[in-house]
Formats: sequence, structure tokens, C-alpha cells
Amino acid sequence: MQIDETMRLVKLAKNHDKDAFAALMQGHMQEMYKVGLSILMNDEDVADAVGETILNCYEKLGTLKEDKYFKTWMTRILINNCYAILDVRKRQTDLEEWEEPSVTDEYNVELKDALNSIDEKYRTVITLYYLEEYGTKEIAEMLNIPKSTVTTWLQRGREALAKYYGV
Amino acid sequence: MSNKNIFQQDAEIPSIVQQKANLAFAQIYARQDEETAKEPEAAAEAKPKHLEAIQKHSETPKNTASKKLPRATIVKLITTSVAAVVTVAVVAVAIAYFTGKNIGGVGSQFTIMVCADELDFGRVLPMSEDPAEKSFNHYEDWYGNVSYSIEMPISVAGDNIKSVSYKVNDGCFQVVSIDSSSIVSGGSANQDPHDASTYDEGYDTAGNYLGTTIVEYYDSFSMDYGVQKDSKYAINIVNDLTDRMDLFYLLGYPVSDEVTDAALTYMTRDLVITVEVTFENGTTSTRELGLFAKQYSAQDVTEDGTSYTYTVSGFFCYEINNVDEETKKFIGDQIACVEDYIKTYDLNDGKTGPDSRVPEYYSEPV
Repeated sequence: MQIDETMRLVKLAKNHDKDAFAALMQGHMQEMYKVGLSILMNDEDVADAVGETILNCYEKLGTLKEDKYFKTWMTRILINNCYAILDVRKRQTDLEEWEEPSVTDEYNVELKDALNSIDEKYRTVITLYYLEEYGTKEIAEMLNIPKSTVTTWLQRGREALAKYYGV
Repeated sequence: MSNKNIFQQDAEIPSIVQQKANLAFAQIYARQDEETAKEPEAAAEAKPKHLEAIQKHSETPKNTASKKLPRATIVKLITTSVAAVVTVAVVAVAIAYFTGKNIGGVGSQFTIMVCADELDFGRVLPMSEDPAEKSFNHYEDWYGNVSYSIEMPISVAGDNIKSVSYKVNDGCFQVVSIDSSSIVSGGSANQDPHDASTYDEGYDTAGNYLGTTIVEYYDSFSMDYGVQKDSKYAINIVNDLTDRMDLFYLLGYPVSDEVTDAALTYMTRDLVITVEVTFENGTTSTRELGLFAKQYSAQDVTEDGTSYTYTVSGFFCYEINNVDEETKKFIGDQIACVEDYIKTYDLNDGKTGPDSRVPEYYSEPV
């Protein structure tokens, strides 16, 4: 979704236009799915995180000061929800005991395989930087980490992916 | 590896993700905020548009130079009958997850309970505590007067609920407070005259003694959440209709159980029960329920302990904004069936169609 369209819908949504809000969130469904998948690696958990994020965004949209930063703001909420789910999952089960998600889509399987091969924190920054085209400064704000850490994690994530692909 | 450029492709949004998103949208649309409260008609008409908004946006190509974008699959909120089965299962899990965890501090969700069962997304539930005892009754006369009373064993459950309000757009509520003062904390009293009911004498319609009762009639009323949980009470939807010879023939001269059920659905087709919850933080959340009637199976045990199954007719309730396709079609078919029958009646002259089901002693009004 282009930034102009995003800002237009955000403005309408702030005036309680639920149709505009629905279109706004639907227009960012791709981004939410990819970012969520990079953290949770499981469609069912991503679905929960996305649903919760939609509700959070609706309730807190009035607190967004600059409409042009909606995507960053939304992604940050999504990441927080993903980590909350991750925390619960870690408390409930060992990571090695996760069942493989039943995925038949070739792209999703390939994406998950590649991302699954690298560390979780590298996964997140790789997804945000390359898929969602956020800058390092924005990623640092989203994840509450220094910008230098983002740069480091990007480099290490790239190295890990290169190793996975045998490059 | 078939494609090393996977990060530049678009992923197909899994249906489970879209369905959870649709559930969130449904919850948002179910909420009544200050703006929609001022313009209820506009809001009610605008509700279906969200499907168009989602679909319209999904058809708008994303204009980025580096990406060719296949469309994300969008599952409509009101899905096909196949997807609806998945939706019910998925969303039921979603509701349980959010209710238990309350992630993100979402305190504006509540569960509608019908008897002891949860009215989850897409479900329909019988409006009866005990299928063996009739939970509704109706009366019709030759002048087209039709009266009905339907038990409403509905309550709400959730976190941080302060109070619950009920409103009905047709008829009114008969609120029976049992062995206590009135459970009603406020509301719009219905001033129409009402015939004394069995509840006035402390009995329900099945003849069971309840206790000391206070019977009141409201178009809408509120009760504290604590009162709902701790008090004994009964609520019925009652209505008196006039000039309804169509219902007189449909209900007075039953053709079959299925047609009678269809007639009951037809009788309450426009009835909407609005349930509004007020939370401790002052926010509100609203959901709307509709009714229809059908046969359903119930089980009982004979005196010698043998279990048996029997069929009984009863009203079911469903959430209007979250009804599955199968139920929608069933109700639509019922209405169509009734309308076909009505065409065979001459309502003005009181004559029936070729079947001549009117007995001789009803040939003239009493």
C-alpha cells in the first residue's frame, strides 16, 4: 500500500470509519504475515498475533501522532504481540517439540526453511529490512535496540543465509 | 533450492490468518462507539460495506517497482459453507485463546452465554434450558391477533464487565425477578397492558414453582454484572401482534413440523436482540442476536434407565453479524417456504386454498 493511501485511510480510520480501518489493515496483511512468520515460524501463532494486532491498532489509533509512521507503529505492535506469544510458547513447551506446520504452499515452505535456519533475532531484522524495507533506524526503534546492533544482526543474518544457500 | 529470491516474492496469506483477521474485524464492527451511537441507521447500513472495502482494496494493485504481486487470498467474513466449517473451528480456538490470555490488554471482548453454552462465532444455540419442557408458546385468533412468549436464557461472561443491557426492537422483555428485589438497575419500561402470566403467581409456563416473583416489562433494561451472576431470574421476550391472519393460518393449522418451524421463524424474522456490555473502564461492546426455529434432537432416559432420543421444536439464537452460510440459507429457505404457503391463503376473506383446512365451525368469526 502506498504511503499516500495509508495516510488517507489512517485519517478516515481516526474518525471512526471502520471500513477505512479494515481496508487499512487488510492492505498491510502481507507485511504483518511476513514479519509475524519471521518471529513465530508458525501460521497458527501468526494468525493469533495478527488478529490481536488488528484489535490493538483499532483501539490505539488515536495515539498515533504522525499518520505517515503508521506502518512502523503497526509493525511494532505486531512484534510485541509476537514476542508475547513466543514467551508463552517457550514457557509451555520446548522449542524442539514444536510440530511442523502443515504447509503446502511452496513459497511459504521455502521461506520458512530459509528463515528457520538462522537465529530468531537475525530473522526479524532480515525480514524487516529486506521484505518490509524499513531502515535501520526504524528497526532499532521497533525492537528497542541500538542501531549498531541492527547493522550487526543484519550482517550476521546475511552470512547465515548465504551459508544456508551454499553461496 | 528452486528460488533464491524468495524474499522478493509475495506470500499467499494462509486462510487461518485471514480468518483470524476477519474475526478481529467482526469484533470491531460489533462495537458501538460514540460516533455510531449517534447515527445508528448509517452504521447499520455501513456494516456490510466492510466486505466491499476489503475486496476492493484487495483488487487494487500495489504499486512498487521491484515487486509483481499476486493477490493475497481474502476469505470473506461470511464464507462459503466449506470454509465456514473451518472458520467456526478456527475462530472458536481464537476466542478461547484471547479470553484466557487477554494479550495486549484487550478488555472489550465478552462471551454470550445461552444456557450454559458459549455462542461462539458462527454457532447457533437452542433457547431452552430443558428441551423436554417447552420454552415458548404462542396464541392466535381469528381476528389476526397473535401473541408469543419466548424464553431468553441469555447472559454474558467476560473480564472487567460492569453491567449488561438488553434491548429488543419488536415486543418487549418480561423480566421476572425471583426471591429478590428487581434485578433491573435501569431501563425503558413498556407501558402496554399485559395479560397476567403464570409468573405473576410464582410459576413458570411449565408449571414449576419458582418462588416469590416480581414481574416487569421493559423495551430495554440494564442489570449489574454481579446481579446477573448471583440472582435468580427469568427473562422472556413477549409480543402481541395484530392483523396477522397469515400467522393465524400458518400456526393455527399446522401442515407439518417443518412448516410450523418455518412459521415461527417467519414470526420472529425481524426481531433483533441487542446485547450491550459496559466494562469497568467505561467502554462498551455491542452484539446483536436473531432467532429462528427448527427441530432438534434431545436425549432423555426412561424410568428403567434406557436412553432414548427424541425430536423437539425450539427457537435457536445466532449472532446476526457472525452467522454462517448454512444457517443463513436454512432461514432463507424457511421464509421462502412460508411465503409460498401464504400465497395460497386468501387472507381478506378468510378462505384457505384448495386444501380447505378451515373446519366448518370456523367458517364465520365468533
